[in-house]
Order: sequence, then C-alpha cells, then structure tokens
Amino acid sequence: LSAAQLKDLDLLQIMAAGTDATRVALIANTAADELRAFVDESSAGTQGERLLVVDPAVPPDAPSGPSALLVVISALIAGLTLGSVLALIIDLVEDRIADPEELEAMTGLPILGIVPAMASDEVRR
Amino acid sequence: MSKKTNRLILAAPNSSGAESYMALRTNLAFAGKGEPVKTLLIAGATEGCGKSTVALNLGHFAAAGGKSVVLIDGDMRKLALTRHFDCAKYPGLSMALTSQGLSTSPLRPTTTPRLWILPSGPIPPSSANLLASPNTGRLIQSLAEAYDLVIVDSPPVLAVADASILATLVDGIIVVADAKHSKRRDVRRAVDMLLKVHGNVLGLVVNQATGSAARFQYTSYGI
Repeated sequence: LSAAQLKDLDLLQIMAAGTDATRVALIANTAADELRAFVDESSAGTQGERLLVVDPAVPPDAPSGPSALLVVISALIAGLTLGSVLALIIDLVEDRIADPEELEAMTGLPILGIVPAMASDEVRR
Repeated sequence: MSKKTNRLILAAPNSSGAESYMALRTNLAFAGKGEPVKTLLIAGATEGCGKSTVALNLGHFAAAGGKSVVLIDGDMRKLALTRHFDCAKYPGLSMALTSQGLSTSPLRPTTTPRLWILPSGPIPPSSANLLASPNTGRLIQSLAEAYDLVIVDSPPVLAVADASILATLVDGIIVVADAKHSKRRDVRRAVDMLLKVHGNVLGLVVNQATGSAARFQYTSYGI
C-alpha cells in the first residue's frame, strides 16, 4: 500500500498491490475511506479541509506486474544462457579430450589405437 | 619387488590391454602408407601421458608377434624404461653417442624373447645437445638394419627439444594422449611442433580409455 501526491494537484493517489484483484481494490478503497474519516474527525467543528474520493479503486482486469508466462520464459532464457556460459568456461578451462573422434578432427591424424588404463590385477613383471 | 612409484605396467596375455596393443601393432603396419615403419618415436605433449607404457607394451607385443625389437630409452631425464628393466647401472644411449666407435653392445636382453632394451645410460649434462649429434641418426639406422623394429621413448615434446630432435631421425611418430589428463591444446601444440620439424606423425594413441573412448574402441574394430 502506498500513497503519493499527484503532481502539484491537491490529489492523493492511493495504490495497493497484491495477488487478489478484488481484495486489492477493497484495500485501496478502505484506506481512502479511513483517511477521509480521519481528516473529517480531526477538523470537526472547524472550517478545515475535507477529503473527497474522486475515483474509487476498481479491481483491475489484468495483473499490473509481469505475467507468470513472462516470468517462466525469462527464467528459462536466463537459465539456459547461464548454463551455456558456464559450460563454455568449464570447457575452456578443463580442455580435456572428451572424444577421440574430436581429437582426430582437431589434428587431422588418425587414432591408431586406444589403450585402456591397466588395473593392478593385470600387472605382470 | 619394486619400490618405484611410477612403475610401468605390461598388459597380461589375453587381457583387454593385450588386445588393444595387438590392434595398435596391426594398425601401425598399415600406417606407413606402403613404407614399412622400422623406426618409431613414441611422443607425447606432457609428462605422464603414458608414452613409456605404450613404448613398453608395443615393444613387447611386437616381439611377441615374431619381430625382433629394440626399445631405446630416449628419455634421459625420467629413465622410465631403463628403470623398468632395472638397467640404470649399464652403459646405454648416452655412452653409445659419446663413444668414438658406434656399437650396439649396450643392448640388454629382456625377459621377453626378441625384445632388447637400450638403456639411457649415464645422464648427460645436456641430452638435447647429445641427441643433436649426427651419431644419433647413425645409431638408430644401424639398429634398424639389424632389427625389425626400433621403438624410441622420448621426453615430453612441450617440455624439451629432445623429442623434436628424435622426430627427424625416425620413419614414423605416434603421439600418445591421455584421455583423462591431456589437454586438447597441448596435444595440438605437440603435433604442430613435430610437424614443424617435418616429423612423419602417423597418428595418435589414446591412453586410458573410459566412457566415450571405450565406445570408440569397439566401433573401430568394425567389420
């Protein structure tokens, strides 16, 4: 809930935000009523200022904030980008041989053999 | 029996390792494009990619296949083959290159029939200077005339000049890359350096096959 003076006019705009449109409108209107009642009370008997509600809040048709779909898409794009960048960085730093075929393509040389790491039970002296 | 930390492992008969080396032996026979490869350098970009293990096993399985084979320990810094065969105290490559008359006598027999080792010999002050002498090429050639296959182990291409020098003195070169630890750019730089000295790089051997590398091995058996 927030309130702000509209430009240099004697108008006060009360704003409420939330997830339930009807409830949000009710909150804004209640706040306006309460404020008006408070001003009326404090300036009772004097020729003081009075407040009028010129434009009551109505429940909006659509959310004012970003839509859920937009949030999901943005998160997806951000996630994919971050993941790709991270994978690229790891690839650059690590630079290990992922695939012998890649090594063949890189050097233009054939793989003549692939020899396994030999476990100690294969040791013979 | 060994206290050594970096022991070389010889693949047991009928193991998958033995199969791999026999496949490599066969592939090498066709890699020379008609020219028989009699002298072969085993090179690698960096330390620990498995050069000496590949040299040892290839030598062993080539000898087991009926060839007479000489392993030269051209890595006068690490001496992996020399230590494997327990012949660090014998004269070897360094002495053969410095002595006046060339001799094949520093060759030592191994427990594998038809497989001989030329140990690295006493460590010289500069192995690159020693290898750069014309004697190196003469020694390798004289061994190639007397034996079917000469396999030269070498220090890392990217570390010292030794491998680049040896590359110019052999029929063919294979570059060993460790699938887990070698970096792609290092392998490429090593290959580039060997090609720059006009070395005949026959192909690559990928060490420590796991995952995709293991799958590749099955497909490469083909037909």
